[in-house]
Amino acid sequence: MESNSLLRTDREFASVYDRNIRGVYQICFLYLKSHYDAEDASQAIFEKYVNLNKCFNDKNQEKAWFISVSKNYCKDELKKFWKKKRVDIERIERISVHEDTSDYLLIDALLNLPIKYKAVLYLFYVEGYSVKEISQLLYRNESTLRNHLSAADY
Amino acid sequence: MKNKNIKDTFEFFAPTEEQKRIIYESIVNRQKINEKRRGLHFKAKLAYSLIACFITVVAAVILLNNNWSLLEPGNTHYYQANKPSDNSSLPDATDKIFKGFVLTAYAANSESAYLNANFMEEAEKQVLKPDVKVLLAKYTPAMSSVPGLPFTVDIKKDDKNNYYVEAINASVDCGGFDRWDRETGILTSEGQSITIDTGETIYWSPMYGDNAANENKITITIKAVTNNTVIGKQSIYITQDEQGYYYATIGELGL
Repeated sequence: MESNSLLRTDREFASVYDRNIRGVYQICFLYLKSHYDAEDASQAIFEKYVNLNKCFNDKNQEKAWFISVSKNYCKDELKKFWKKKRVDIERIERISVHEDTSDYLLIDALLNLPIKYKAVLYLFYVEGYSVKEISQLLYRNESTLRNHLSAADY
Repeated sequence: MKNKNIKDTFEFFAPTEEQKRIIYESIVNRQKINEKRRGLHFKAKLAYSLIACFITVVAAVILLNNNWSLLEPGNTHYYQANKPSDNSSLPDATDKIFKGFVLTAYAANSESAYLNANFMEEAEKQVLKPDVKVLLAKYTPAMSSVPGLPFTVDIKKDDKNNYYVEAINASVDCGGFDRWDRETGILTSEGQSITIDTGETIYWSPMYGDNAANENKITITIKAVTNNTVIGKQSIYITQDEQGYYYATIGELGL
């Protein structure tokens, strides 16, 4: 992706962006349930990366950083008053258009999962992390994570 | 839920290429704006610093100019405070010099009036002034019921920084002094010199032992003393005419 960015180096940032935008966006959407909010959140997270005065040892550490920052950023956003007191237009549209589809049921179920399950599910099912790796990433007990996965499956 | 379903469902949350491009361009544009703002911010900080320095320099120049004007000879306040060798120019010294005596004599109401014991109430009190002769109440040792010509010695009082006078000494070249307590009638001969309190009345007698006044002009010297230092001196001159009338005047205040 060509860019005229003034950051680290243009190419360096572009490659980092390409590697992580998908995961960051998915996590943000999972938490915030809105494409627009997910875009804003993704932008904010990558700006944090730009202003980060630190280098990663490898790509796994880089990915872990993005996942962790995305999760924390979205949780902070959800605490805001504005987020609590509104209904997404997209959700209203989904209700009206996809009400009778099974896809909608699954999407809605995922979006409405408790926050503590969302990141675990994403890391387990999409990123393919093991329970042990997830416990190291999220600083949680392995047995707790297994319970969360079981509950989510149910 | 099956794993594949969950994973597929997450694809619904994935960004499109258009969304990725939009996000990327937003990040790049924001960084460009931030770079410009940083430059402006630095320029603003520099400008503020320069303005603060300018104001400081101007204030310093103004203050220094004000202080310099006080150092000029025309400004007596600061000038006086910086000439300690000239004691008379020191603000404190000026206020604390001896202001002078208040020497009161008892003048005659008429030429034939003799001085009597009630002179304080009956005679005319006259504060003596230089070059002004006062006809004193007539006095002869045989006819008067006072021991001598009375003079009340006091000092000029000032509300501010009144110079403290420890003692007043009086001395005379002819005759002598008596101290007389009018209430008890006790008379004490003091001789030719006497130390008195401010406001005290002394009596000069021309008939004083071997030192009878034969001169036509008698000088009583009054001195104010503090810390064994004479801080003021003034003389009372008593003259007698051929008819035997006494006159009194005083000289200028000196040291």
